[in-house]
Amino acid sequence: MKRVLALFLAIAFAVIAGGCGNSGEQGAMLTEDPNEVPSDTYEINWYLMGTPQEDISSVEMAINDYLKDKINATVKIHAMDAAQYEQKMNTMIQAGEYFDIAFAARWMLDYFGNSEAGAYFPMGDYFDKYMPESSKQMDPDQLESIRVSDGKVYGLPVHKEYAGQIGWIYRKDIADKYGINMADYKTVESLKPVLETIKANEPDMQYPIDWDNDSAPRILVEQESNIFRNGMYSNLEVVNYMDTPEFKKACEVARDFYESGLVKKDVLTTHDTIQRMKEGKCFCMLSPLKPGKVEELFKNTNYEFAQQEITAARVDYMPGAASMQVISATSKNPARCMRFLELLNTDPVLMNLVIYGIEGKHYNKIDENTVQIKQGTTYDFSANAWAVGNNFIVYLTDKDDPQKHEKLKELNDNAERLVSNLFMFDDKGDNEMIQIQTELDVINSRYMAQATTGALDPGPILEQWKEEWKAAGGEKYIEEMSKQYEEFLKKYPEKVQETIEREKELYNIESKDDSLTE
Amino acid sequence: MHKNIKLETFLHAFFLVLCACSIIPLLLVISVSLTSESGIVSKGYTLLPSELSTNAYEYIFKNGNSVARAYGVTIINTITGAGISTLLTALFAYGLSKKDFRWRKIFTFYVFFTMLFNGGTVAWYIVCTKWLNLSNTIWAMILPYLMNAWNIIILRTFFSTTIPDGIIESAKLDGAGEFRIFFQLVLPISLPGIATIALFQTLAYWNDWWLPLLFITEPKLYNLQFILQNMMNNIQKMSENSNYALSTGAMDVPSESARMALCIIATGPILFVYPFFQKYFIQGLTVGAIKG
Repeated sequence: MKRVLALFLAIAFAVIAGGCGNSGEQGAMLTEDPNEVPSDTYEINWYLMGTPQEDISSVEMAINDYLKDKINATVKIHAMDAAQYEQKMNTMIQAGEYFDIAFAARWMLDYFGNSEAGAYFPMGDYFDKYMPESSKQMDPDQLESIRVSDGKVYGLPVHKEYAGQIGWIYRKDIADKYGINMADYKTVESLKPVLETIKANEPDMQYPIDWDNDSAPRILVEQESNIFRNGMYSNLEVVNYMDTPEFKKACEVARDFYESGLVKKDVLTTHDTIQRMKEGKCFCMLSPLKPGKVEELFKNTNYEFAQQEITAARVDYMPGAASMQVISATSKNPARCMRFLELLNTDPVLMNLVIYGIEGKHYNKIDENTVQIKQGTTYDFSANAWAVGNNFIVYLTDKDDPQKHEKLKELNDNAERLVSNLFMFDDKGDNEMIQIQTELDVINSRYMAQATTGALDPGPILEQWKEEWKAAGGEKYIEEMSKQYEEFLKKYPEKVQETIEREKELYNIESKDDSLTE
Repeated sequence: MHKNIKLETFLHAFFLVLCACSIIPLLLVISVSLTSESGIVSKGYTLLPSELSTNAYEYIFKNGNSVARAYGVTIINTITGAGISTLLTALFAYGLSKKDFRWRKIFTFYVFFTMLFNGGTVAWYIVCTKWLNLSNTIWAMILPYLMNAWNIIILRTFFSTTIPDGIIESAKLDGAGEFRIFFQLVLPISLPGIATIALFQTLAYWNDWWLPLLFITEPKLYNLQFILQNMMNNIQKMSENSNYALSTGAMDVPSESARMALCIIATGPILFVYPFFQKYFIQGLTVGAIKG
């Protein structure tokens, strides 16, 4: 028995030693001159999130030909759908398996956790040397938001829009028929008479509005975090968002619509809102919006759709962390990977090879920046361009708004920046806090859909929710978070002042201000 | 007599309800898969298709040969996997069941131990990818399930309780070797037990989506259950994460009837295999080895 144990230990050590062994190798590789074409070929294993495309091999070949004279690298693309991607990549990272580049985000492959654990390569240290242009494309806040607690940056955000608004997606033909101007309806409840008219007159639209947990009326009063009151006024204090009157009201509105039969009966369990819109069963839905969203969502459809923003544009919480490319700590040549990412984000030829495939084979070019995807094409990665790289050099399709890129840039530039955007709660490794957080997550996700979709009476649900939330230590959590948040705010006195000014102007809430400036 | 009738009516009624509970959902799925999309919209789910249409099936089989190919992969996996694994399990279990086998205790413990403790997913994953190089090969979906400790223990117990030592001894006296005894004597009389294991393994291989998820990134090697699983998960993912849904527009969610049709395609064949094995289940309970 002892011998067996000894053997096990020996194997375990061998594996651990093997896992750590390549850091020295990496150091040597980082001397590569970024302006020279290296003499040795390196194969980059690139893991992407997105539906695998049939004709990937010919695209890979075209990419390799193109890269040969530039950085002398070849690329092997491994594309996987989201669910598999998450499972497979997490296992690979835990096992210390080799890969070069992968897609990661705050919500995928735990960017912050894995970076701290040393799974990724700290590419931020080499931005100036290997990725000067692609890193300069970023907004400083984007890079700031992905700085990990050790002060390093481990990823390159995908350059795209990082702000959003909430608004309606609706059937334009129906709106025109009844003379409805969606811009007039800034709240869900104000739309009720309109929906009732449509329900009475359109036999196909028995449930004229649709939502699920992510598009219920509450999204109008809240955006990313459930702790900050982002959507409303002060975002200088931490509160239990679920306990606010605004949230309660949103739940009650949902309930009222449900009881009036304006939303489908199985709203609690189904998630096919977009599908139902496509099939012409609904008149409208709430949705996070960006320019061109409707064109993207409803590419193949028989009806006419339009979008109408009803909230102000706002920079996302953690604007850089929504979608990134990271380099693995197990990569044998991070310098080449960084050069590849630099090229990918600055060279339209390479980028569009990855996104649309080969010209003439998978798509036809209409003019310099517009393409038409061929019918029944065997390669089209455009649905996942947002997870690959610089979206502003991706060609537009003939169905896109020709001004799409300009509009997205404008959205970025004009969106308001909340001071809370860069704040992230730090559990500081405190086991009690971690446990409270986990429990709160479980409780919140259990009650969220029940309370907000309207399928159940929100009154008792909210009560029960609050009770459980308290029992799990919610108040303690808020207290700790408030403390950290105050610390955080001290770093940005101008931003705090700005916020106070703006809110004064917007809401005239004098009484609130006193407590904030103290 | 009177009492008996009452009891019987009750029992029959009870089992009829039980049957209905398991059959009706299946019928519903079949019916929805054969209903046209507009029928579902206007009438909802009905037990008999409100508007008959085979569009969903056409859509699945036309939409790339990926489903047909995945079908092939699943069938190959199931046949080779279940075949080899049943053979190996039977051979191993037979050895463990023989009282005159010297290392019996050690080997039994070795098997039993893995039921209580294992190295965890990561260690197992490292063995499969780094040392056995199984990534993106069809063996990745066959090898890991070949030996199942639980099945071995079941079969060992089955062998040691149903095969009398006398029958083996008599064969030995007649001059039969170990392999001859196993294949010509033991196997035929323990068919019920082996069929049970074979069914377990068939189901395990047929229903597996976990191995391709971990080891296969080559779409050519995806199996049927994995495609199904992937499709459902993508829908789930989209609804879970607004960030994801915000940016992904062009992802086409299959229509309701197409999803149901996929379910039917995936479960269909196994429904037909089951009755075939069932014959042996019943036999296994009634037929002894030595008669008279």
